[in-house]
Amino acid sequence: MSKLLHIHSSQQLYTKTMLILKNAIPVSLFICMSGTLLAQTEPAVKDTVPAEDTIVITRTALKGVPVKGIITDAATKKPVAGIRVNIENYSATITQDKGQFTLRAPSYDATLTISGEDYDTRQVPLKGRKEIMVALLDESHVSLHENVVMPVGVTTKRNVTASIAQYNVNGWGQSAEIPDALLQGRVAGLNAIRRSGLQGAGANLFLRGYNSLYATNKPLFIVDNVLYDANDYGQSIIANNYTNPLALIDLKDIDNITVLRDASSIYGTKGANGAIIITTSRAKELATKIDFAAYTGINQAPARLPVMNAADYRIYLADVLQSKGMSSTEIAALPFMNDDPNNPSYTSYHYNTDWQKKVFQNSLTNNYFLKVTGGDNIATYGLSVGYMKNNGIIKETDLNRFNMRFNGEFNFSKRFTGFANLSLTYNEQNLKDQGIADKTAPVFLSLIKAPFLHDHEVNSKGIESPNLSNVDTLGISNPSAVIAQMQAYNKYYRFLGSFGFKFDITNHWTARTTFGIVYDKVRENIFVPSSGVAKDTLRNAIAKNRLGSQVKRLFTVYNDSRIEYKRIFNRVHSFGAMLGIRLQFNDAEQDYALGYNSATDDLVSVQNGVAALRQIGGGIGEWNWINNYVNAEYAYKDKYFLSFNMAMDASSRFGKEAKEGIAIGDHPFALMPSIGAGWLVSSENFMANTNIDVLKLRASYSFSGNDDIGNYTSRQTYGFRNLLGMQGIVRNGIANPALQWETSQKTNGGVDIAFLNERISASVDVWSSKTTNMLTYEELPTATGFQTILTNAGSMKNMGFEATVNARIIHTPTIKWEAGFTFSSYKNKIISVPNGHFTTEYANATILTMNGKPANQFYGYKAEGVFATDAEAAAAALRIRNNDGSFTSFTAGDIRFADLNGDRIIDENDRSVIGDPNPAFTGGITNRVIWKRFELNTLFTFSQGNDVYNYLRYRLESESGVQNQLVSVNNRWRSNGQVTTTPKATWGDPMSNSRFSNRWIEDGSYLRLRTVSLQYYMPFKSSLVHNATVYVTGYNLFTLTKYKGYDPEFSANPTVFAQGIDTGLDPVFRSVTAGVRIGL
Amino acid sequence: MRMNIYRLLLIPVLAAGAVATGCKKWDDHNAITDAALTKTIFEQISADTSLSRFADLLKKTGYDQVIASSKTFTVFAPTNTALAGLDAAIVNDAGKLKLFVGNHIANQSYFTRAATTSLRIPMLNGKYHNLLASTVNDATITRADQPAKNGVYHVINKMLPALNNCWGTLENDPAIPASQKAYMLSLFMKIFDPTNAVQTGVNPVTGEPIYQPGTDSVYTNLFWRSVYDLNDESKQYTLFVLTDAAWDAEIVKFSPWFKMPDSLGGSAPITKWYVLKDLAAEGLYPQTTVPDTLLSKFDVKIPVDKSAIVQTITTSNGIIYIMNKADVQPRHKIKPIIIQGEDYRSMSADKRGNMYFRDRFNTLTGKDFRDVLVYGHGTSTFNLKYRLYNVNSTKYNVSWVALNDFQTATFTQKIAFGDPASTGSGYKTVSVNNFDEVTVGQVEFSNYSGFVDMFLVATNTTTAATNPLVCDYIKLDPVF
Repeated sequence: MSKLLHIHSSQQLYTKTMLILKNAIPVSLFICMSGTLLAQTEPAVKDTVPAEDTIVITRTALKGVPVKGIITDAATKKPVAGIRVNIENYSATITQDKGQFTLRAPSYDATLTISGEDYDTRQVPLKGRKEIMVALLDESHVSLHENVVMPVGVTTKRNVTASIAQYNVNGWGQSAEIPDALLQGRVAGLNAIRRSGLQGAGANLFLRGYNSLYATNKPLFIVDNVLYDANDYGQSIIANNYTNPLALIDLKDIDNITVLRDASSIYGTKGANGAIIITTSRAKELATKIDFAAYTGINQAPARLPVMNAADYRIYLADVLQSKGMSSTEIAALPFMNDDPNNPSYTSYHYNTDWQKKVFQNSLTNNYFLKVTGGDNIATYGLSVGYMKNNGIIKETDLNRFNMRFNGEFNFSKRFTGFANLSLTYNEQNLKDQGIADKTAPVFLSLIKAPFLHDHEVNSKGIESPNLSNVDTLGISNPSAVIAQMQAYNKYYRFLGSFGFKFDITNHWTARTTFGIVYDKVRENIFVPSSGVAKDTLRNAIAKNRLGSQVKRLFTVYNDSRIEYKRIFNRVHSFGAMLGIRLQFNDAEQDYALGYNSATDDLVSVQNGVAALRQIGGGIGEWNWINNYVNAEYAYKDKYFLSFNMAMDASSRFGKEAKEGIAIGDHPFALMPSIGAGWLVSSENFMANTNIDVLKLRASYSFSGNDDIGNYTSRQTYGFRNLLGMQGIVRNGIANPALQWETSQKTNGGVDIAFLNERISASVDVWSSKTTNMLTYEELPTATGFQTILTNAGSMKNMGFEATVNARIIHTPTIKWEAGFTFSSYKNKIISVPNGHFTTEYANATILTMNGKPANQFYGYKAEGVFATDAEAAAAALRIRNNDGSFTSFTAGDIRFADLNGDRIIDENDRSVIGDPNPAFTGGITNRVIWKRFELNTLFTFSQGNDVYNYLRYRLESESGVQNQLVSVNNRWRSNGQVTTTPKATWGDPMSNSRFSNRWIEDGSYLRLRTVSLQYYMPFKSSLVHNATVYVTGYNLFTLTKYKGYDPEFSANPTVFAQGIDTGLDPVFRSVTAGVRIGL
Repeated sequence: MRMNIYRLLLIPVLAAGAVATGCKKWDDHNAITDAALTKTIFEQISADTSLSRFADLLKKTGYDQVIASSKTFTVFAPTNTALAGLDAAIVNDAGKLKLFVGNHIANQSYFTRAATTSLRIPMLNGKYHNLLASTVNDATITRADQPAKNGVYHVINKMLPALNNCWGTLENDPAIPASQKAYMLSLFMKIFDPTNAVQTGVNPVTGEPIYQPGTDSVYTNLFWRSVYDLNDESKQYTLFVLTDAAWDAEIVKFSPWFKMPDSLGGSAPITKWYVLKDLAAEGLYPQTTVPDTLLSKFDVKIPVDKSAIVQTITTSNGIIYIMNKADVQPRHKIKPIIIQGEDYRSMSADKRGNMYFRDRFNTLTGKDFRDVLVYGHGTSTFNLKYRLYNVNSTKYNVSWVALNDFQTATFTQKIAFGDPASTGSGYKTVSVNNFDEVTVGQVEFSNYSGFVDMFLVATNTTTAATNPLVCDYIKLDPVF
């Protein structure tokens, strides 16, 4: 050992050894074993130091091999001076005025890193060449060389073995976006489906298909290395409202987003759905920089659905009331059938109101943002404050957001640094019920409300009162009253604070720790007035007005501590490893109170409700998670990459008798390993003379888990019950102590390629994933007293393909055009569920989950037209079985349902798969055109081959009641011989012509101009204003689709079983914003 | 200024919108597949040259506006040929013409497929028509179920004249014989009816409302109220009107059963009413299909001898037969009186503690019955009082069913009329376990009475075993 040390200390001996045994592997290994050499950076500047003659000669020989080159600008084709060329930890230089450089490389295997301001950093492997020519592309170019934020730290995308995608956010040009919806079309493999058009509603994210049926499918969010809880705990008391924590992050605070599609096993049992890593922006330079931006915009109300006008509606109403059995005298006596202008009620029933106009509006948005960054070599800071007011397209809805963020970085000493990220966002939102809320959702009401009515009270002379009219004679609420008088608001704030330290113990060893605290509170209040709104029926009373209040709270403490080791051995072996532990303590609580029948509509808070009708409830959730992880990264010659991750997780949610994993003490720990390998083929010498700049092959295999199995599901719990005034506790189901995490096993193979001087780059991934131990409800024998138990009895798999292509199509000094394309496709398949299949119900749809088929198939009847004549119906002889066992035959004007089993009885045995909500493929097309001082960015998104169940159309074409219907209902069957596809109007629809059938399934494919953003960099410079940019951005400007609803994009619920079901949430809308950003 | 900026912003938005949404996706879905459904009934009728005359009449009466409006209608459109015979007097009288045209239009859509049984459809003029398969009243539908946007029309080969209803015909038709008509018209009276009354105060003593005089009654006819309202267009009636001779003969025939002292008006008024009330039946029975016997509202058989029909008058709500013979049989009109034992009106002493209402099974008839038993009441000549109504001036056989199953000894009881002490049937033995109807005597009434009191009387002892009363029912059978 002492001998070795001696050799080390002797520069001469070392260099001699190098000369003799250059490129000899045994030496490499030897040096690798011995350790420390490669830290000895000897920068080129040292060459100028005078030295002894003999040594100078030796040193020249020792300094590796000479490399020459010329760096040009790919656009102008002219040489560029001042470009840094370096070999990491070895040598560096700057190009001269003709773009030329010379530098010493350790060998002709080395990789040069070429970087310069406004240019895209490029890594150029020498591959045996002594002279290189590199034409640099500009910084905005999407490149394989860019740095990406990985769970283990920042690294070059080129060296990553996992399948990842990064999006560098330009929040200034997309002020109206929120982080989850933003990723739509930009990341292959990620299917982001916006929930609705509600402000801040965001998107449901599915990364590479479905991984779970009953646990979450949402990727894990990490913001600045802290887990970001993006769940909405507990249901909203506002119908179908979703509180989206991601709406709290201002896009202008985000620097980049990395999507980790696989190899997320480092997050253990939270990694099954991949991870989305958000890095917020921090000071990039020390000089104080102030940016102020102001935006204003307009949201456009959607095109109205073609519902019937007053004249058509009254004819429909006459028909449907006749089918109810009302005599013509009774119908003629109804107030709205009166056509005598002298009748006092004549005027109130002779309008032609476009109710959708009463509910939708064009609205304004405003957004202001101020960011200050700067600092010195001790500390840098970034401080931003923002305010946004976004009025909804539904009248009286809006979103106000105040956000503040402070990011600071501190250099306490050379080895000891720290950071603090503090953010506080306050959201205040005025809402309305949406989706399936027949009495209170204004959009739905505006579709079904009788158009011959007016929203204000009208006297016999036709004079309109300022008072809004009450519930009409048909029992339907007044949408204008709901808009004006219903209160539903959500006040939401979240504090996310994190701070951390990093200590460089030695050159190779580093210790880090990060603490994070989340405090999150949602407060909701509703008031549904009695006037203008149809009454609700409670178990033991009629609810005239309704009041509600809810508070949801989440408190999380998080710590991530790790020790890292990083070393490059002899320039050939690069090794990094880390060992860490993550801890998370969570405490969530939900409390709500619902009241009914306050004395007047002026008493709107919940304590004014009648005491006997008050409902109080809530829940407490506490769960803890510990995640021990190791990571090792190894690279050989910067060409071959290996990575290994493993996590060992325990959670308070796991059952004590979990089958898998290992047990330490009483506690089951999940083991989640993954390995990845990459081969940078383009760095091989035999690739020296090809046009391929980068070619990398990747493969990974990983295990990860899903711990979203319920906080207490594995335990025996009891619930309070009241029976005839006696209080008692009863068991809540049967505990399953063997309940454990779901296991996701993922395999990925990928290719990254760039050629034509990296003007064209592409990444292609083929993957498969398999979920085992998947949560399913298993049926229990009746004797147990319970119906189901949650077990890990299912399994499911996905296979998919995704591709990302970027091409710099035009590249000249004045005009640059870059186009990008993302494409993803997956096939989901259930391997096994208990009993081989089960069905679920959502919005009157039946969803089939069956072995061998995708998880969520629309399962219903096949409609094959309408019986034109009684003779035709009699010939078909189809019938239904009534509840009392008798039969009713289909007659003329009824739908001819396919009788699949041939028994002439249309019942549940005649259902089949009638649609699949999973798209054949999804993706996006981006374009970026830079011309002089203008920059145009466009994003098209598309989804192809997904079937959609149009619940709204089902309601608006069911022809079973007094609700207004679509214009298509004018086509309804009326008399023998009429050939049509719309059945007759019948009160209550006794033959269930409107049952869940392929009549309501539509093609949900679309191509949408998702975003267009035009920027203009103003050509002035003054002492006060450094720069100014003007933005005009359009969102959802057009959508090509055959889908007949308001919009083909919606996701009412994150569950797999609700996908592709349009429940009539507030639609996604079109908007345009204009803004200016000023740099001071 | 601010607004202008937003307008400016809106231009690209709207332009893009026009390109994209283009509402095309709805066009196919909403396209009307049957061209007929785009036109109103009036548009279709006026487009049809064979219905031009009817279209003209529609225009003339203003009904064209009605059947072009947004409600649903059924129009029975007579062809030009069918309208050729339309009386010019109707055409020239606006009121009559409106009545006539309105007789062809109904609210709501009525298709022939629904008329598998006769549908009685109200027309806009207040009359009703019967739609059965492809006939409406006596017109035949030559082109049925022509759909339109706001309903349906049927082309018919005969016009539908607006006829008088039964009562109107009775009042106005000169063919109606005088006597019966005069009697029926004499039945008008004012009847208390507070439906449309104006209340002016409250009686401080009784708390009853005080109505403004003249508003608290309706002028109506006894026949409408007690038999059939022949003005009701929604229903159909068959009315028999007797020729004067036949009417008089019928009165004479029935007067023995309705003897009344002259001091009370004699037998004529009551006999007339009893003859008249059974001269109408509900339902339309045209002469071709009329059965030989109809039932009146009071279940009296009305023999219909077709040879006795003098004249037949069709009305909008039925048919009137003028007959020269009624021939209603007295045994059909004068009916037995049956009163249930438990339906007594009062008792001679309060012995409710000794009364039993029993459910029993009659082994002879095979039916369940309920009777009354008074046992152990300890009162001599204890009796139950019953009231019989509308008792004719004739002789009745009196019988009872009395089940003595509560003791092995027989006992006696009697039936008395007017006074419990009167002899009546005399005491008759109630034998053990006898389910038979037992004739206990005869009674004859000399005059028709609105009501007669009848008593079931126990023996003149206080011994429980000999003075029970038991009765299922008592029957008075007229002797002819």
